[in-house]
Amino acid sequence: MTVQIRPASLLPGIPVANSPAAPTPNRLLRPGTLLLSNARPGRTVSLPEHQAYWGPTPHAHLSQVIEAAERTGLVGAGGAGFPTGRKLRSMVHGKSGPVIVNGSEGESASGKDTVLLTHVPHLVLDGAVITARALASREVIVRVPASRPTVIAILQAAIGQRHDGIRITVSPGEDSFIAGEATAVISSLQGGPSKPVALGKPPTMRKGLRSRPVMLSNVETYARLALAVRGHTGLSSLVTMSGAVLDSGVMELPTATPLGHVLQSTGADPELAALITGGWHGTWIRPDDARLSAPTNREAFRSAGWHWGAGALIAIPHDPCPVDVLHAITDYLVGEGARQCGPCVLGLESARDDLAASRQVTDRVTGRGLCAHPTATIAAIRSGQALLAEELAAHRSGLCTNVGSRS
Amino acid sequence: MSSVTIDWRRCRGHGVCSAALEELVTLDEWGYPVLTGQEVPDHLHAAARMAQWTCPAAALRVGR
Repeated sequence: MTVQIRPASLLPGIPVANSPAAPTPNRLLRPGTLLLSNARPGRTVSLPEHQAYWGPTPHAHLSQVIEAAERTGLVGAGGAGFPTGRKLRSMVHGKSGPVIVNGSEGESASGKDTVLLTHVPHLVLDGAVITARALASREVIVRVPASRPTVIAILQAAIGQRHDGIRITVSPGEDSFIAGEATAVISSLQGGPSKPVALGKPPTMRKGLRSRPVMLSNVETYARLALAVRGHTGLSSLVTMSGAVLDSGVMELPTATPLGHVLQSTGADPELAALITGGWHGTWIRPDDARLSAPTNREAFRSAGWHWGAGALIAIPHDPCPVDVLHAITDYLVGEGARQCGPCVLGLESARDDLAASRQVTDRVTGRGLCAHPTATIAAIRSGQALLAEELAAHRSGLCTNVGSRS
Repeated sequence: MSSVTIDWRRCRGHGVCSAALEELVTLDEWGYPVLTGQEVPDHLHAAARMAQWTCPAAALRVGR
């Protein structure tokens, strides 16, 4: 099975120097510990195999689904981390529109949703079907980027094997950084642009689709829900490792796994300039011994002040120059803005100009704007700027601390 | 108490809101509003309504 992947070099200027192969963040590196415990890299688990391993799709009342979500502390795995139980509590049995499985994976440093959909599609679909039945909704829509025909084909084959009495359709969507934001997905399903509609709207969007509230969650969230409703209480961390590593891809690990172990096991450059946690919107950290002993999970990252997002980790080496990499990432994030509002258009561009002119990027858009992208982008640039203070100072005096760099 | 919100898709940075409701709205370097507070105290309610009615882009809203 070959999985359609994004442009190999993730971003222009993002290092792949140490990687013999093109980085493929949508690749499963090895069998997982929970969701992917019956998966083998490059192979789709069929419905009979899935049922032999996990048993049939359970039926559950809405209250039982909510209880299962809350018992396991389930939160949205797309990035925002909103508690799934609370989202379900805002839904009303019999009055819901379609259940939407968001597999947009707009975060280009993440491959976990694609890996789940291509390896254990029935676990994801179980979660969606359980939710639809609990809400007395008769329809499930799986949103996947149109640019990934292999994922769509695998998903359609999986849907063809099932007889749930629920209509399941695949909806191909736009493949851009912000197209996977919840309100952007709803907007696009209504025939509008794949752009966020509002900041801080209730996640279920009371008049979501066809004037009915919809339950929209990330692929991983439904997969976890499918096990939670079955009574499994186990936890795991699903991470995507990319950048200056030998094996970029997706791993499912025990939540106590030290961060250093994740880097080591993917053959990361031992002399990294930085590690970005939580994807392109994330936190730049110096991977020293103390930080590398931190457990790799959402809670531990949050208490350390690091972004978790969708669990994407990006290793930034010394060569090419990390300052160039910060510029490339900034260009990418600014270019991915929806350009719908002032803080996005002017705020992001002036942040890029400040960085280019070696000025401190100031925090001028936080909490403002139509969506979270301006706020998150500026936070990410500021994080990179803070970590690379020394390198940036050297650049200001016309020196690059890195030999063999482009600047 | 009511609260004020900005529809960022409509807002074009005219800046009228800041003139009408300077106690709650300042402008950033590009002329876009920065809310110093979302809650509108009762004595500013009339000014907030005025800001809503005079916004050329109909981007400012005063709600419950």
